[in-house]
Amino acid sequence: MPVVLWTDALIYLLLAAALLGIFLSRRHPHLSAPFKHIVHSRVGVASGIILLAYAAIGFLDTLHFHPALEQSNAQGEAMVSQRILSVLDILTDSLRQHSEKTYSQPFAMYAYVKESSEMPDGRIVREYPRLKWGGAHLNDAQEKTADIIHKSIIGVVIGLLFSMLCSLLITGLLAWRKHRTLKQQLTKVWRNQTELPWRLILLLLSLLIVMASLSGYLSQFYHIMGTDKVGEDVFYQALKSIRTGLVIGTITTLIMLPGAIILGLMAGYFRGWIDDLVQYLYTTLNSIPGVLLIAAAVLMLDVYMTNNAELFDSVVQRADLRLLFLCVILGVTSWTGLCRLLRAETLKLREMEYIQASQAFGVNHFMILLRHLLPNVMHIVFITIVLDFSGLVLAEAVLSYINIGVDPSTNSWGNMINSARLELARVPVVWWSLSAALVFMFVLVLSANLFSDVVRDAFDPRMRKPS
Amino acid sequence: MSAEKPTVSDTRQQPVLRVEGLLTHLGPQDNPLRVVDDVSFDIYRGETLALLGESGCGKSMTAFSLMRLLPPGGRIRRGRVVLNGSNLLHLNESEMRSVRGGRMGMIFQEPMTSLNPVMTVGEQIAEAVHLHDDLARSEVRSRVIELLKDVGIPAPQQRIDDYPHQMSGGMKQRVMIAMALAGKPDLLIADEPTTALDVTIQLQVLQLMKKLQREHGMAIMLITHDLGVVSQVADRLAVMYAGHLVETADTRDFFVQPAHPYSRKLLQALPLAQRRQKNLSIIKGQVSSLQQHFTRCRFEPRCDQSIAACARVLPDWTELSGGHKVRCLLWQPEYHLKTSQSKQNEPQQAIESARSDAGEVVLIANNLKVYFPVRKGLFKRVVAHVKAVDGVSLELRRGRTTALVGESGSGKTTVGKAILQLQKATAGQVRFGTTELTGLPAADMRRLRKHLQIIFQDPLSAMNPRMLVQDIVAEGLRAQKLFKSHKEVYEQVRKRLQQVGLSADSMTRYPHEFSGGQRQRICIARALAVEPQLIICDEPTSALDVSVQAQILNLLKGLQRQMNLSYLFITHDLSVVSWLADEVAVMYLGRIVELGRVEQIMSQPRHPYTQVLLSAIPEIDSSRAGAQASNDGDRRKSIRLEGDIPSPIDAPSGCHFHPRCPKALPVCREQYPSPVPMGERGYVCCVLYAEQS
Repeated sequence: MPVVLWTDALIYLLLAAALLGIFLSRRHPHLSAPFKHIVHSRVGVASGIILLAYAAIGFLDTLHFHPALEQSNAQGEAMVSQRILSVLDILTDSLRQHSEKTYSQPFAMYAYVKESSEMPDGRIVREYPRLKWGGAHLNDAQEKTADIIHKSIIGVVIGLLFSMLCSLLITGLLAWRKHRTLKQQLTKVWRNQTELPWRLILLLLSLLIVMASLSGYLSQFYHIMGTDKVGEDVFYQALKSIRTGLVIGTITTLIMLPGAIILGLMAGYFRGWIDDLVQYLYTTLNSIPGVLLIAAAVLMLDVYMTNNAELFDSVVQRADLRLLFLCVILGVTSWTGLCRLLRAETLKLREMEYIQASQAFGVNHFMILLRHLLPNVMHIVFITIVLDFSGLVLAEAVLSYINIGVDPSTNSWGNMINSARLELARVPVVWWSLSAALVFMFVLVLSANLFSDVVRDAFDPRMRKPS
Repeated sequence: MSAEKPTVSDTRQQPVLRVEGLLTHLGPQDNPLRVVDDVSFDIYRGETLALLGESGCGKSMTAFSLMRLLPPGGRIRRGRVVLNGSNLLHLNESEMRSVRGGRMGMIFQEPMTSLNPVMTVGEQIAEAVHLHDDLARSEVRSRVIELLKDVGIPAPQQRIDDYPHQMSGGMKQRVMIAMALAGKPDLLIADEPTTALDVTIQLQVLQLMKKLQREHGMAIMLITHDLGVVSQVADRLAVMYAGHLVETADTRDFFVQPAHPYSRKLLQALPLAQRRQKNLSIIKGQVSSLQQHFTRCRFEPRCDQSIAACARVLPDWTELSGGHKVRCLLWQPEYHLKTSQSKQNEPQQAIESARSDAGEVVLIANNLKVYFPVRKGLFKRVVAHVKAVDGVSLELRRGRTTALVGESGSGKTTVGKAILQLQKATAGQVRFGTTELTGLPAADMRRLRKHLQIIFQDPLSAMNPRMLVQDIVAEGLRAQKLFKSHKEVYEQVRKRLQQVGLSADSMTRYPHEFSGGQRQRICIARALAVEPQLIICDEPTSALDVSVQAQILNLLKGLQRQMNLSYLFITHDLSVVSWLADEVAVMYLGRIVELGRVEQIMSQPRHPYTQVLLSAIPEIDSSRAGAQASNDGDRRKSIRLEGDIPSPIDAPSGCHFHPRCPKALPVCREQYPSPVPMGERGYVCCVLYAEQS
């Protein structure tokens, strides 16, 4: 039985808007030109594919439902559990189930800390106990290296098979569309003679598939990124955190955009008392320390949630609402920067002669704002969205540090870093939680930044060469 | 090419600068732009060489190559640049630095952006002095003051501590010249030094450069597109086309008989009073792409005198007379005979003679005033007013062009905007037909806007860069709801674009994909789309090259005849006015000082200010060639004005013009002269004529 959480609904909305945008721009050749620019740029394609991979994982994690229970109720109807799971949870079921007692290193078969255990002869020894799942199929520590190599090869081979299948399928489709034979198309792709950088796309796709299959296969037998304090698989946590990162990065901007754009444009265009009012508003808001505002809001929400526990069916719903609320409050504190930029740009643009020309045609204010000012500040909006995206993903980590971030039960890179923070002080150091979170975050933020550059160039007509 | 012989005087044996076979590439290695292609010339001591050409012809790139200041991706592939015996292309960067600003000074077009706004002008000149002279601190200051005095800045002891924003454009250009002089250069490269300045100031700066040249004996390389500037100051000129020199000549010879078809076209494209009855001569097409390696005459595709050989042979220099050389096959003896001389005077389409009838009045502006309050202090009290427009009355008639002439700051653009109600008038009336526009409710005004349109100076900033041409042109149609369906709107757009000479496929392109002239055509099509009765043209051609300007002016005149349009043509260029306008109003500091029919104003200017403006028109009529022989370098009788245009915030008492007027009388200082009627509907505000009547 499907469940739609609040953030799920907003993600669907965002997806619908993106699809609508793509649909509309496909019908108008001049609007699709910027997108063509993106898919023709190698950096754009490469970073876009990585972002899509993240988005796909995040999307799988967004499809929530109540799992069916084995037994039926008295009337013979199928029962559903009160728990909420996502498609991703099902796909990574083994990771979710395989939890250890406490810390273990990546690819370990013994725990990270010694435990006292009673031997059959009654002696108490302190030793590193075997893990319940990690490397449980091994008899001897000697076999481990060989086993890992063996299993890696299997994983890579499976991945290569899949990626070849996938590449062939795509090339076949291309050949069919271009009315060529498969062989011709393959040579064209291999020699990089295609219009789009298909060779790069296929190579990157293959790489992703191989990595997925490798990590997927290995993680059946080992904790490839170790386990955390309560023995949960870190790889699973990192995967689950993707959705949280994407939600914070996108929904926050989505929430703050309308206000920032409308107020910024109006302040710049109308000047006078509207300008004074908007400036007063954001100056006041800016002078309140953002972290305090967020802390106050989140604590208020906490109190409300504790007092009205009956409003929430499950922990997941509760955590989700807290995530959404965090997005809203981050949005409220972060719109001022964009608003200020837009106001300044509008002040400059309103003196342009094309604005005067439309005034001379009797175009009304709303249309001037919509048709002349908005498209000319969109590049600022785009840049802000992407720069904020990485900033927000990082802000989530900071807020989790002082416990006003996402719910502790929500998987997030911020929570991962936060829980790993204290362990950095111990010897030997527990480094894997932090590293896993950092790697996942770094790849996401880097590709988002690279992508933003391409997008900005694509949307700036002055950057393109005259045709 | 080989070295040129000294042409002006034989005493100058050694050229200051000799450029030989300069080849400069820009852009990618495999497919470079040949921005400067085999350029050779000499400049001698005390001589001014003008490099003449339209934008994009490689004039500035030549200068940057000489200075070795090419933009990233630019490189000199071949050639020699010899300054006083040393080849600059062999110097290393630190040696080159001492040449720049030392033996070779440079001034740029835009004095506003060439000066650092947070340093006083004295400090900036001192910096230049310091680099080239090892002087003690006190000596530096006195040297700076000396330099400022040299370039004619009044009270240099006080102005030395001024910041750039406290100076006018002309003053800043003088400061730039002072900085260039600090290194006591042998050669001064001036890249469009007066293009951003008003005509009266332009004359001051040019004459200052001449004076300094006489005193210091330096050579000047003047880069310009303005034939008027060339005729005023240059001794010799070199015409540049598509990265190539096509003609070099003494200025006098050139204006008497330009040899290259391109030079001739440039001169014919100038709007002059005697061409009033004809369409202006235009050059078809555009400058060919510089990415190719030319094996033919590069002007051939646009030349209407080309012969079959032009497409095959790269023409070499032909010497016509002493120092007058041209790169054109038509002048080579073997081809010369085959072309008929009559072909040079191509038939120009005559246009009907100006109508003498008055035409019905479309719009009346009566005593229009636009004051901008100046606020100061904590409570933003109004302490003064900038009287941008101070009592202007105009009558615009159907099918007629009224020109509004004046320098920047004279309030002519504000008049245009106040008539359109884009700028609220402080006082006065604007009556369109029977409707009073001032104080009209916004909704009523919106409906009326389809009758009144405006064309701006810079077409690129007048179009939303993110809108397609079809939507730009359709904007007025949509706002005025003139058509119901999209199809009808676009049909009208296509019609209008065709009317201004653009094809239908331009509809789905963006403004930046067009050249400057085409962009202005789009703006004209946009204004035409709503079928207005009156168009206010705010300097529509001043950002364009001469040949493109001719196309736009032809278009405007043709449209006027077709659609019986009225124009209010705002400009500072009286030569355009003499070709296009029926009536002329000359503005100075917010007031009209003279108004009359164009023939009368151009032939018999009454107001001293009008006389000054007229003297700035280049005199290049070849029919007066006989008169040229007698004079000695000072080819024109130009009236030089002292001082800058005063600020409209504290206009001089009495006649605004009296502090600069060469004919001022004591009475001018006391009261503003009342208009003296001159001819039919004309008048002049000057006491000189009050006595006569």
